Amino acid sequence: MTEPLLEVSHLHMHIGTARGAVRAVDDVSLSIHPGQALGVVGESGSGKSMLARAIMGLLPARAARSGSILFKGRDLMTMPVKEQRDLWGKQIGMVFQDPGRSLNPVVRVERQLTEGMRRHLGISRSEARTRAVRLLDEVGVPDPEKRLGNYPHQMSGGMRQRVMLAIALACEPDLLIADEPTTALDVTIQRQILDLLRRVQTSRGMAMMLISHDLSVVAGRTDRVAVMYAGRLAETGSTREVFADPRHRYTHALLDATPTLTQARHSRLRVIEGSLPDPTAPPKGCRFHLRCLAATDACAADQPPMESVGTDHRIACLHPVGSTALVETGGAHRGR
Amino acid sequence: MPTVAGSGAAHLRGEEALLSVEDLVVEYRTSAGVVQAVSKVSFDVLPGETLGIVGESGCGKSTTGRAVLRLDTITSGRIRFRDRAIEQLGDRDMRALRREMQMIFQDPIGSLNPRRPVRELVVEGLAVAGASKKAQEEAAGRVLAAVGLADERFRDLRARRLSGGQAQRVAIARALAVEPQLLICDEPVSALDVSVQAQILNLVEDLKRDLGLTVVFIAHDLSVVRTVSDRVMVMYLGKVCEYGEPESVYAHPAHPYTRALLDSVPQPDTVDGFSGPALEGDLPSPLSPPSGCRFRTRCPRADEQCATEEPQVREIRQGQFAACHHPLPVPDVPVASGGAAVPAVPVAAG
Repeated sequence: MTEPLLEVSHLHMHIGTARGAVRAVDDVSLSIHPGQALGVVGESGSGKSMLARAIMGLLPARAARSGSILFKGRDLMTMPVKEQRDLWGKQIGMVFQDPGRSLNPVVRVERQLTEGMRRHLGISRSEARTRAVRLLDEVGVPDPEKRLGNYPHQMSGGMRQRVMLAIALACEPDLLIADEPTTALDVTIQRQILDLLRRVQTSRGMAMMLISHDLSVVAGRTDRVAVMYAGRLAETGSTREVFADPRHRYTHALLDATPTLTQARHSRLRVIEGSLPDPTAPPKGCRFHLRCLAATDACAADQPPMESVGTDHRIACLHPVGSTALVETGGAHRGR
Repeated sequence: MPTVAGSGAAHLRGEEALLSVEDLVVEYRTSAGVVQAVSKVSFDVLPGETLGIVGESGCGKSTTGRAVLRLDTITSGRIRFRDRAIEQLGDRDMRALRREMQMIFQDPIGSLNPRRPVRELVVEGLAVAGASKKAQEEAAGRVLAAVGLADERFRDLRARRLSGGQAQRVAIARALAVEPQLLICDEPVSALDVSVQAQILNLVEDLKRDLGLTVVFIAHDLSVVRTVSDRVMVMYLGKVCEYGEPESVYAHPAHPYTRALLDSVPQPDTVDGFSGPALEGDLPSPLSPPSGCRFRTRCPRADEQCATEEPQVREIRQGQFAACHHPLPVPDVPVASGGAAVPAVPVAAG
């Protein structure tokens, strides 16, 4: 087994608010190996985007981190800012949800795309331009020469997200962090961008962290997946195994609550009763226990530890879904 | 029988419909020119039925819903609700009629006054109509119970303290308070998390059954539309592409755009996450939509006829209609309705 490219251990991030500290990320440990794609999924308030921000050091006001974030063996949390700057945009690329807001509206595509290359790689303007054209071509922007002269508002949302991706890829990063990269896009454009992300990730042998609220988005495009709930990690494992055989009660319930394209007309969806706990005062024990049908007194007492339930499949649940779960629920959520 | 005109009305079912829309055109004026957001769209909804309208942004689905309530100005076309011609009503008659046709919106919190308590919010319509305090109070209790917010503590909460799911329940309760016949839901769950979305979808289904509501359900999410709809209508760039029973349309889409939409929905159970090839290209500018079929610039089956001649809505097989010169082959026998689980997305060829 190779060394992990990114290794997050016991990461906490608390954010101070008027109503108390929000435990946005609470004791999360995970790793990504070189060339591997990790999906991070969860509903709003699960901490998935905050996890990304904690890794990237893009901390909200009054946020405090603890734990460690090792990238190629070096801790990002203790690394001097000057060295970090050399890392971001060069070895780690980022793509965000809203390409309209992440791009500078008054700067042409060419400068936004070549800025990082010239800074990090020290190449000439003309070489950067040549590379920029090649990059735009790689991410499927038609007529790349002409597009270099465009401002972001002259492009559609899908095109802007392609440009964002080209910027993120410009210095050939080892890791791409994509936070809800397709959430603002229509379904046919989302499809194009997801295909593109996976293609670029595998052809470049780059590692990727793909964050989404939509479980289906990460399903076909990642090797491993981490499911988060209320700031904590609920389940991790190979993507195929977690989707085929979810063991944590939350993952299972979430898949069950998702309507499919084969859903029978007027069939009742399985619901998860209640709503997310107050992030400033989460319940003791398992964060999901108040909404969980299998919860017992033990679930309310202590946070269940992450335990192995298969090769590379771990859950934090005292009452895992049995292997007969498919029969139990009619197997409706796999949509076959 | 309705005549085939404009973009076609072959799929209309005539007199028994509660809501009937024919050749609806809605235009917006922008600094760059006139946009036809809805272009000769026809459909009807029978009493007690749910029509799902699905499509991507810019397809005109929301504008269509808003036009029915005359929240947007109707440029041309006919909208009949029961025996009333909506496009001809005066403002005062329209205001009265809106009690029978209610709408809920995507952003539940934004659609409620943040400063007013829930018990007042839900009966605002009745207050405007001059109902007594006692009648308002009774109605508030009734509709809040109907949407699962019977607990006393909700009555005095302000809208800003509600979660997204609770706020959408309040919005639904508020629509129900005036006892409408038609409920138009515009992306009612797209701002909600999956676990809450299922609660709201089940609620809409229950209310529809218990109160005999007729529903127009507008959404971009194909899976959501399928579960609630008796008929689905797929729109693209202001036009109707396909119409029919969800089982037929999802299992054997006749319009290449419907096929592409279905193939673009990420699936957790396929190797690459998708069941067919991707659709190329971007949405054309609505300011200058393509001639002929508006989908032709992205359509793998398009030819010269598609550029010169606008396809009319026509029956492809019993109960399934598409506006396409070169529809995909579908079996003659429609898929049994009523919703037995059918293999909705067969692995697409090439």
